[in-house]
Amino acid sequence: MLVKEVTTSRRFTAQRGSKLHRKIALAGFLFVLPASLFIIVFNVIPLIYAFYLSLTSYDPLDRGGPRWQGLEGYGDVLGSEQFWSALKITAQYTFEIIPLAIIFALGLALLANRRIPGIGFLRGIFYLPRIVSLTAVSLIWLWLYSRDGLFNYIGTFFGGGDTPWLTSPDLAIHSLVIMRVWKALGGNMVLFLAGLQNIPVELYEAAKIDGANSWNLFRYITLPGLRAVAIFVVTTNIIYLFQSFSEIYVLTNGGPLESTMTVNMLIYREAFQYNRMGQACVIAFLLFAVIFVFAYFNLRLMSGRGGKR
Amino acid sequence: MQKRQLRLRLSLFFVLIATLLAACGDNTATTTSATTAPASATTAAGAATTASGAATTAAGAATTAAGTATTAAASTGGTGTIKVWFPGNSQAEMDVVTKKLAPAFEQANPGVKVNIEFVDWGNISTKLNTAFAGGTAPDVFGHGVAATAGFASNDRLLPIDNYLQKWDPKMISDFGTLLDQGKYNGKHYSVPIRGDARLIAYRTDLFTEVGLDPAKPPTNWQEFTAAAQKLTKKSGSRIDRSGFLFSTTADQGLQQVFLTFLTEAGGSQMNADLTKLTWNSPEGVKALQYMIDTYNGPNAVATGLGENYGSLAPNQQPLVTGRTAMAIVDPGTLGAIRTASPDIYSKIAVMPPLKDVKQTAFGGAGTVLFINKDTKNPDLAWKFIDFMNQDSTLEDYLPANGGFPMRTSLLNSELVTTKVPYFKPFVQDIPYYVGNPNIPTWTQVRDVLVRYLDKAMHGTLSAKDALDQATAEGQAIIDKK
Repeated sequence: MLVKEVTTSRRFTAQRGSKLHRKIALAGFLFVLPASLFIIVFNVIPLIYAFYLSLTSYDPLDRGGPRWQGLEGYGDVLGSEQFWSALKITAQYTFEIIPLAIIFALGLALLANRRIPGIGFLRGIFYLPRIVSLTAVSLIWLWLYSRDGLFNYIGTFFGGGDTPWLTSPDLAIHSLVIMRVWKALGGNMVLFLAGLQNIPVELYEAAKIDGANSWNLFRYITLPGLRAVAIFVVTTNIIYLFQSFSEIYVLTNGGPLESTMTVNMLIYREAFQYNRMGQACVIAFLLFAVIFVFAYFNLRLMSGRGGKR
Repeated sequence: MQKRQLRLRLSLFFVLIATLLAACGDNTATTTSATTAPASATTAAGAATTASGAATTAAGAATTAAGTATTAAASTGGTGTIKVWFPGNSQAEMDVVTKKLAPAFEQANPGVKVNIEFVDWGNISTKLNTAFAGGTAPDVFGHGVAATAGFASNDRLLPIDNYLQKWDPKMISDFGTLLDQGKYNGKHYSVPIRGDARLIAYRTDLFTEVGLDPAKPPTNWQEFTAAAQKLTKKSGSRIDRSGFLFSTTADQGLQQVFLTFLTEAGGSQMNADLTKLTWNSPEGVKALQYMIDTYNGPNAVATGLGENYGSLAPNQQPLVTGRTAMAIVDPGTLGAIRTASPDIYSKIAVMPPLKDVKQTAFGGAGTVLFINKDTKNPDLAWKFIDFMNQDSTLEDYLPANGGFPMRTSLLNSELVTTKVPYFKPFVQDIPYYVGNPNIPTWTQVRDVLVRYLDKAMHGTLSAKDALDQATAEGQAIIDKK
């Protein structure tokens, strides 16, 4: 009798629990539905359609619509010298920026983490470049780099000549790097600052008692403590920098002598200047693959899974 | 500990995927574009588009619900609604068109409604392509004349020859050859509403300073070279003041300069039936060598190779700062200088096109109006184009737009003589203007030329090799099509 009652009670509880779970699941589903729909409609479907377009030859003006050509477009792009050149330039641009952006951002974060008067104001100043539109910033730097701009004015003042910042094929990409490092500092700094503030103070205190000097504190506590943040910063920087476009479009438009022709500039040209949407989609997907590979290996390498432990 | 690490890795992995997806789907286009003179080197303030922006735009184009009716009623030009897209984002132009001209057109045509939209030059092609693909293209739209062949070859434009026949023949002849710039396969597709050209402007005070007569500017290459050298100021091998500057950024501006020198030397870009490129003719090589020598070698008269001075603010223009004595300018730049630096503007004059074998300059129809072939109201669309070409309309429109009138009969109009005096040399020289050939692949072919001109200007290829390679590569694109 007692056994029967207990069984009934458990079944009842289980039924109630199951109903509750269903309700919770339904509520959760309803909560994520708008965002999911947004992502599906504005990201996933266009991406699938873009992949389809990459297998076609498509001029939006053509009344016939996309024409199937299978993998021919991929063959054309992979066999094109311009694509590989653009990829090389994109990689050079990205990997020149990242170390500089990390080192300077970490330095700023260490500075901003100190308890000194006016530090809130300084943090705001450091972060300012991050919130200004990249296109607007690029226009300002266009003037700074111009022949009559600030940099050449300073150079001339100190007896130097005019520097062809953006017009020399050897110098243009490095000039872009300088501008982009400056732009990236604020965002990276905030992330490092958050990381620094999450490192327990007790670790520093204990190390000091054990006689650790400043370098030791930085090397053995700060740096390991920032590892997760560094992984995030490097990975997201790779993703964004490989897609650089606005600043290059404004400052050099891919020149001089195509020395700053990145993959995204090629995509823009194919899609919007030549109306070759299929070809543009091919390059976009190849770029996606390249970014994924770089980001994935960076993740493995930095999180310790890529090497010996 | 292992669980924690797994969670961290999983989180990072998802963040990576989300960021990639977001970034690829992101169309962080800054749709503002600051273009002062549409056909000139566009100042790149906008058109920022990311990799998959291309893809998503294409996708968006194809998935747009087709056939949003833009015309309320099919009529014969009596009543209805038409949608018109103007290129550009000048506030003055937008104000004149939307607050004055469109209401005037509606008032003159009871029962008619005009929906005006301005699209900046940087995005006009993209938006039109998307709209055509989605069936939402405007009834009338403005664009550069070089876009004619691309749209016409895809059967997107309405031929306007029937309408032109109804025009007063005087009006047709008034345009000179400019109407024919919008011709493709023997049919007219567009009517220009503003002119655009590249002429050489010079500082009269600097001419006087070096003993040249500003009232008698050079007329041919020899005189021009001599004047440029006289006007150049050097400290050793360094050029402190250029005698002459032209756009050397690797964009269409460089090709326009080449076109001017090429035609002045007696050459042309293509053969008469527009099937073969002729850039590498002896005239082409001569023209390119002249451009190279302007910037390179012991007799160079210009410095700042590759510099995009077209995008500088009016007060920073080399002619204004005195960094050059002569420069190739467009009317928009001159207008901007007039507003920003009236004192310097008063010392600037524009010389007629030079002559080597022939007197020519790049120029012609700047913005032209087309009619969408799918419009349900072609007569009304034409009526609007006709209205935009009336003298009274142009008198309001052109000072706001910065482009000059294209009809020679307007040379002595109040608009040219009093209201906007810097229009005068540009209108005067209409008979000398040459434009680009109307072929469907022109943008690609032109970019090939620009790439090789850039190489020649930087000394990585000789003039002959650059033009030989450009011709071969450009011809392959034409033949493939």
